[in-house]
Amino acid sequence: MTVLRASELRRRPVVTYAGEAAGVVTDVLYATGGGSVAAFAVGHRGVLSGGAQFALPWEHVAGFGPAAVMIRAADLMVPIGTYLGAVGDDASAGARDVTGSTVLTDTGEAIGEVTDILVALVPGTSLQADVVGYEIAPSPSLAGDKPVSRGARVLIPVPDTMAVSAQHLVVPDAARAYLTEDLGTFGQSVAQFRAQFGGGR
Amino acid sequence: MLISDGRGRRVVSTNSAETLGIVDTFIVDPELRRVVAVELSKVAGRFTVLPWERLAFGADAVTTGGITDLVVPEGYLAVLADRHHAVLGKRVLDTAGRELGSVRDVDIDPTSGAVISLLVGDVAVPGAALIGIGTYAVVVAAA
Repeated sequence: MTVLRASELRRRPVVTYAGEAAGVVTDVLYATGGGSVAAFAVGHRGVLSGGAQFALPWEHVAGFGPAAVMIRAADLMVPIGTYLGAVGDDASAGARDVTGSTVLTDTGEAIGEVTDILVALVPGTSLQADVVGYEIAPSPSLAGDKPVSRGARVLIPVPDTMAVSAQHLVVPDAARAYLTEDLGTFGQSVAQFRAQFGGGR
Repeated sequence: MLISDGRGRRVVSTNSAETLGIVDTFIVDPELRRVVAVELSKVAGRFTVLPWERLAFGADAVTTGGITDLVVPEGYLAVLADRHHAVLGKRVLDTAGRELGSVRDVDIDPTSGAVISLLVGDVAVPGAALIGIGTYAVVVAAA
């Protein structure tokens, strides 16, 4: 399981099978509940390109690699307004960026603020992009937890389904035992956490 | 035959025995996965493209009937002949979104023009994997 920070996806080129650049990823749109990537927002290339023009639904992503997001044809992207309108209220939840939200444990402790979203690409017949955790700026209450060094960002795994509102993300207190600072081993942390607490695929 | 070896070969009219021009660029159709024409340099006038079916690619010279075999590219051929669609030097992406390098050379069948392989760095990507040639990248099927 390859885990990426969602912020790393930004600026990644979107390229058609015909070899034309269709734009760059400007943002990641999440499905209701925040459990998976629903679409990429895509804008024009270049510095003065403005915001997103299109949404590229995840099911139309043909390939996803370090150099590019591959699509079969540019017309699989839809105007961003059309996409957000079609998904309705779900999309307003889905499109919301949870960066900056407070992470609360189910025992009511605020453990930090979301600084990035961790996405796993699950290889298989169809590409899956699961939200498997969050990078957080830890609050002082986390200082007692083993791997947290001063000023560092920590990574926390989350179950498959979780409660997300405009202000809070609620994670099981047990997830604290799986905190790490290392993205390279985070995939294992997620696998162990989900094996023990469910929500694994 | 590597297209780098084919470049610079003179194009001779079998009618007049005159040199019509010099092979400059190979125009590759990614759907047919073959060279469909060559563009000539040192040609007087706008008729600079020689369709593959009108030429014979010999070891010492390329022969064709005469100057009237040269065309101005139109339609789809004009798109393929556009400088931005040149293959040599272009970055190569596979359908999994990985960059494999850039096209160093192309090995073609000198009779049919079929692309045998794309030489990308030290790797030969089979011509059958070719999917698209665009302004941004050459796209090949993931191995």
